[in-house]
Amino acid sequence: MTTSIVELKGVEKTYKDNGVAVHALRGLDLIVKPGEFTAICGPSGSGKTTALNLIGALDTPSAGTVTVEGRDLSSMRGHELSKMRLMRLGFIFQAYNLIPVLTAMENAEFVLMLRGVPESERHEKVRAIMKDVGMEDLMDRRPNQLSGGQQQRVAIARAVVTEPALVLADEPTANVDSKTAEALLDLMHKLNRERNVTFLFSTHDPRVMERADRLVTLQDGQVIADEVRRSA
Amino acid sequence: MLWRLAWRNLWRSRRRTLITLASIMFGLLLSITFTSMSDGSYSKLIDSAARAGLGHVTLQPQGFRDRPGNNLYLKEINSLVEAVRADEDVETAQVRVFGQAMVATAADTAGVAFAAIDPQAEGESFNLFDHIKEGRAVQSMVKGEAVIGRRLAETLELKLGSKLVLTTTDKDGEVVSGLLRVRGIFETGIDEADRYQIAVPLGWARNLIGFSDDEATLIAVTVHDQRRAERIAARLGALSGPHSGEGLPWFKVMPDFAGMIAIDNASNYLFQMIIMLLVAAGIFNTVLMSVMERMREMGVMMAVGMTARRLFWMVTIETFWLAVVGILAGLLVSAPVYYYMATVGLDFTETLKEQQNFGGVAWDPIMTSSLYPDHLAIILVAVFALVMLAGLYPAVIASKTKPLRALRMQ
Repeated sequence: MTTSIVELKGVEKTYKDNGVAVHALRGLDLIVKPGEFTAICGPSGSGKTTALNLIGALDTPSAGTVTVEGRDLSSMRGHELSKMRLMRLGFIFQAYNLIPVLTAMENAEFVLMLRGVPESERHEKVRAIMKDVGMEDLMDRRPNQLSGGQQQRVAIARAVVTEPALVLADEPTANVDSKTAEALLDLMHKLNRERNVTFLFSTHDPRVMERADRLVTLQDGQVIADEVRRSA
Repeated sequence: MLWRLAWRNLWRSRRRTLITLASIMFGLLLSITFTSMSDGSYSKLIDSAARAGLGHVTLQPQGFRDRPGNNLYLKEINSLVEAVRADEDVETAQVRVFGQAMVATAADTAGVAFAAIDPQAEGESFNLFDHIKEGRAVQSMVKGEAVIGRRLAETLELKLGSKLVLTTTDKDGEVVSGLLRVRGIFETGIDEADRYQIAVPLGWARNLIGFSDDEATLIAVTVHDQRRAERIAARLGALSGPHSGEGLPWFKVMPDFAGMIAIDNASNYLFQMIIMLLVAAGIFNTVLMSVMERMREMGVMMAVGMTARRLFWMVTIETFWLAVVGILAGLLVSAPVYYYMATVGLDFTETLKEQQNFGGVAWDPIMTSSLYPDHLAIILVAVFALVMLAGLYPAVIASKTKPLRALRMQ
């Protein structure tokens, strides 16, 4: 029986940058359990985003294994990885990355549509999550009519509306002011507690580190500290 | 939702989309206008050629095409013409005697082609009678009346009421002559017709050549849809078999004229293909640009679980919307132009003063449009297919998006 939702074993990732090998990860080991609210921190170039990309099946490791819900990602084909991202993962990006031609509601609905959820059920779920993220009055607005914080709330709604096993958030508070960052962290914490959604952040924002239940620190592609503050 | 998303994507760059739609619109406008002008002009030309004597379908004696002569004729023609007229595709069927002859006056002699017509059956519908400038059409069935061309009248110094002698061979090959009096002078503007053709009454010609009332050279058949002439000719040809006849469509009876139409049509198609390729290049550019600009967004879509196949469809649907809106806009713009061209047309009377013939057939200087429904369908399907084809490669590019690489794009 799987007790971890994510497991990285001896993961290495080497990029070629203008012909020069760059070692982003050097034998990374990490286990994330269901319900955790974990932040991966570290300086720029420490490998935070690379680790999230590997866990999110957006990239493949040079060595080692990445396992999500007991499945080794290296054994999965392209369409299987797409399906896993769709059915089991949620993504929150630093730059929000909402679809500009869709309204806030449609952006949140988009992933449910990809899943083939019927329209009436989609609307019901989206309305509920938009209420949870405090966007119920702005659902008909397009991204360019929303502030950065509001866009990130919609992005959070999009990530959790499918009730994924794991939400990967890459620097989710980097582009918002401190008050909005606090509000977003409150929101994600609430979703973590109430909906039991597992969150894994990459961040170098001290506010996120402060609020994380577990703080994993990377340096030069390796874990140098792993601190559990509160158990999930 | 994918359809809605694709529709909205189309309008992200409103100006670019409008320019692309305009190119589809004008491509369609040009295609419809040129094709309808061709259809209209050729249809009128072919009708004009048919009414000039031989019909859209000609039922004539077997072997007449290779060795025309009065010794070859259709027998028991009255029962055949009744059977032909009963055919639902047939508009008119006229019994005619055609032949070569010499005409002479005190002033000169000239070789002519005579067409003997039944004035009771044809009234004044015979093509040459449209161009009568002096006098009238032949009216008697048996009297020696002739309607001649202006050039012939000048050569033979003939005027209304003048006499001329027509000499030809009878059905047995003997030389025979008959006296005619000029009742009308026509002027088509086609030198060959004005110099060479002459219309005489059917009864008079039969008497001269020795044909009975149940014999004639041919039956000129006009049909409701000249494009079906070949099939109708085959069907009517089978009817005329027992009468020693065969059925030929207009393009076999007038191969030079048909060849000129075919060449003109081919150059028209080539011109339209070039226009369409230019339109396709514009669409290709628009859709590809639109895809390349959204690579990051497509990366996000793939990251959240959109499959390559769905991305392909999304871009294909965008192209579909482009095609549908462009075609609708093209039809909207083309409709009034077509209506004007079909009802009023362009008058080239002054421009084409000296050149009002095409392959020896009188060319109506007022050019009007008439678009065959199947040609319209072909144009619409071709434009739609071309637009979709132009969007294919950008759709493939979209489906090959690598999410991580796309996410790193600015």
